[in-house]
Amino acid sequence: MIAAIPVESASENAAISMRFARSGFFCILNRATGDMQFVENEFASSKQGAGKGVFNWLTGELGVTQFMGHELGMKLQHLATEKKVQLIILPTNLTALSGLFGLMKLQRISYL
Amino acid sequence: MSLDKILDALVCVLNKCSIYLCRNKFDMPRPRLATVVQKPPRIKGFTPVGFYGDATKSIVMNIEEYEAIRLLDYEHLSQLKAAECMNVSRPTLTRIYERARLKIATALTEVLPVIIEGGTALFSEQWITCLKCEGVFNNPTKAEINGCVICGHSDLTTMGGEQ
Repeated sequence: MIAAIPVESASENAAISMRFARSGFFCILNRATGDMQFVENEFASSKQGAGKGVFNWLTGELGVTQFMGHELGMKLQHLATEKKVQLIILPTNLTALSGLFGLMKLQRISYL
Repeated sequence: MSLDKILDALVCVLNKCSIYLCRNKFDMPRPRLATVVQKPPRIKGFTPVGFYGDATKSIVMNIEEYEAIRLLDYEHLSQLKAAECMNVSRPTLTRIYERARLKIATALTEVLPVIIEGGTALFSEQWITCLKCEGVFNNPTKAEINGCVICGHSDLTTMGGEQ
């Protein structure tokens, strides 16, 4: 199961972005192995269609099956429902990626 | 390790702690909790008939404000029942409803288009909340859920209610 988390920078301590499709980077996390990679969001500054573009990019090229974020827009929710992609609204007190990893009890983040 | 180095490290840690506390407690307001919307609007907004005014001016109504108007004025639900449907408290629903009515009144009086967009709404009846971590998730594949998909805790509750 591969999850996409919107973040503001490419580091394990990055702040989780409040916006999904317009975030600067995505953390692509393989929840089975704990492996992760950071990818730059090429739709962050697009004038329109960012939600749809990000959805197709993440689910098509990167094989994402879970979207995690603080806010997920209406169009993204409709697309996710159609394509059976799971949506996860993160707790509002969770501001950093390292906190999320701690909550998930990922083995590789053993120093947390 | 010399005393200077220990003091430097201590100052560095204290600085990081103060930055973290300031950012979380003072600089950022608490994000709004997501409300549950049973039926999303079928259109993006309304334009007055014979509208020749400034097209750049418009009233932006959130999805949850639209839902409050729909539940209270169209479905004639009580405020308590509507609040349960939207997964908010009754006073919060009243505030959302008052904002929505003010926007409609402004649009009618000042002859402005109404755009329905934005807000923190969830469109589904299958949202589940974890009582431990307060994470919210849906279940698009209708598979059996044994625990929270974030923390794995088994204390879960379903958000909102069907009308």
